[in-house]
Amino acid sequence: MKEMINVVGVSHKYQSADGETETVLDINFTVNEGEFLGIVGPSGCGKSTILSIISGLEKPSKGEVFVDGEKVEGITEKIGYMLQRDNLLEWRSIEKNVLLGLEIQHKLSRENIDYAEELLNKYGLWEWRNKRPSQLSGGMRQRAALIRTLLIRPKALLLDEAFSALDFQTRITVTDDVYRILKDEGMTTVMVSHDIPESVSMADKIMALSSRPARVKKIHEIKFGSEFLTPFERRNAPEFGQYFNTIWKELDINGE
Amino acid sequence: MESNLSKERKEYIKNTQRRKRAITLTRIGIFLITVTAWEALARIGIIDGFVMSMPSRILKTVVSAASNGLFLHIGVTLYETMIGFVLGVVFGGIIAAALWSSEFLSKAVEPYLVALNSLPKIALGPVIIIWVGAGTKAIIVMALAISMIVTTLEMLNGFRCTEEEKIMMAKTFGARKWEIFLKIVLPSNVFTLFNSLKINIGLSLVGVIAGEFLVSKAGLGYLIVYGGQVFKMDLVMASVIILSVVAMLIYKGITFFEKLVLNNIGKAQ
Repeated sequence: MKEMINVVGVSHKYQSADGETETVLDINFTVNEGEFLGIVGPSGCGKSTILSIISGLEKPSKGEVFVDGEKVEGITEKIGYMLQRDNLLEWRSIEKNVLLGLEIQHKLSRENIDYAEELLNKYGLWEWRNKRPSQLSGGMRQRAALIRTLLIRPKALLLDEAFSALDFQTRITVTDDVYRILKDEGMTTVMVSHDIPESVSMADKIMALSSRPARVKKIHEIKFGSEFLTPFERRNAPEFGQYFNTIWKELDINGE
Repeated sequence: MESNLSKERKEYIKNTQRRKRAITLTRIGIFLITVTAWEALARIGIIDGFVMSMPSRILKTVVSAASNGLFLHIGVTLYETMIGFVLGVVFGGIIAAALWSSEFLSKAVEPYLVALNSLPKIALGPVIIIWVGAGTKAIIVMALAISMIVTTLEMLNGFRCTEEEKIMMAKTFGARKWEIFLKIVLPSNVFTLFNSLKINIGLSLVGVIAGEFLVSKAGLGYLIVYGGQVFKMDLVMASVIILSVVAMLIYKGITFFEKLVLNNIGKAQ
């Protein structure tokens, strides 16, 4: 299987007036093409920093990151990055919102616009393309934000607590939606979340981190029976509770 | 349709309409009472009509001035205000954008901005006259001096309050600074922009009148000073009243323009 993301010996220090903080320490992992890696860890441990480093927004103080065999130096177009909120712009229609990434990268070719229309159609937003973000439900907005990122044809997708701004019910549906789209598109994904059930329900592998500075404690393989296709179904699978308990215990700060 | 409304709804509508009407009537009442009382007190001789002027004489002055260059004076003041306004918005906007884009620059010049902002700009009058000459230029520069700093600070403040995560989103697509400014910061700040336009136009007018007090051969500010010097209080009062009407109309104009733009933005493209 092709290795899509390679993180090799990455450490990161954060400098501020108060001094130096080690956020991440000697992280190593690999994500294969089409694989879904969940990263869980105590809050404030530096999970998001790992994503920033993969995307090139932050530089590691030590170590290297490779995406699709190429070393990451500065913001790379190979990475799609989704933040906590959908960040759709209210002054643009859904279609114009979806095209924003392409617009910024000067890639508004006929071919790419056709692709945008194809994805809007495929994921049920075609009738909504001329509406404003505020006229859409939370779930539809999240899909629009995802399409915006998919249109730049990233090699890998980073999700940073991407569903945390949604209410619980929407969150469950959106998770199913997003999961289906990611698997449809064969997208390599790294998701940071403090929500263990959510991670277990979506991921193929889960990396558990220690508290700050974040170190890799263990990488768990997550496997469900073939009858459990969606994150929602996986939540009802017999293995689900087992995985949850194992990871929960591992993160337990009292146990350290 | 009417009959479908519930009794409470009808009652509510009737009450709001009645209230609206009462407010309008009160407004007209305040005007009428003030004007009548002023006129009556001056006529009876309780107040001195020569010093305080009186509504009938003000009206007469306006009517006779209307055929005697009044519109030229209004035009001159409007013209100067508009130039001061446009220059203030353009320069203020450019400076605010520059300060937004460079935190270093903005930190470096901050104390100077604060000093300039708190300085009563009218104190610069003599300096301005010596530097650019006693004419329309001096008046426009005065308008600029008074309006620009506030516009800059107001806009800068708005730019800085742009949602950080939206900027981050644009960055993840590799957006450069000016792209972030044009695609995220500027459109996020339409409300702030219009607010600063409103502040700017008001201050430009203040600057123009102050400038006209110092140097001018025409304009409402000139009329006020001239009327004061020759003790024509009717002319002074008439000019002040016209000035307040002009100021209100300009403000309304911007509010109208704002609604137009916001409606356009609100419509799906």
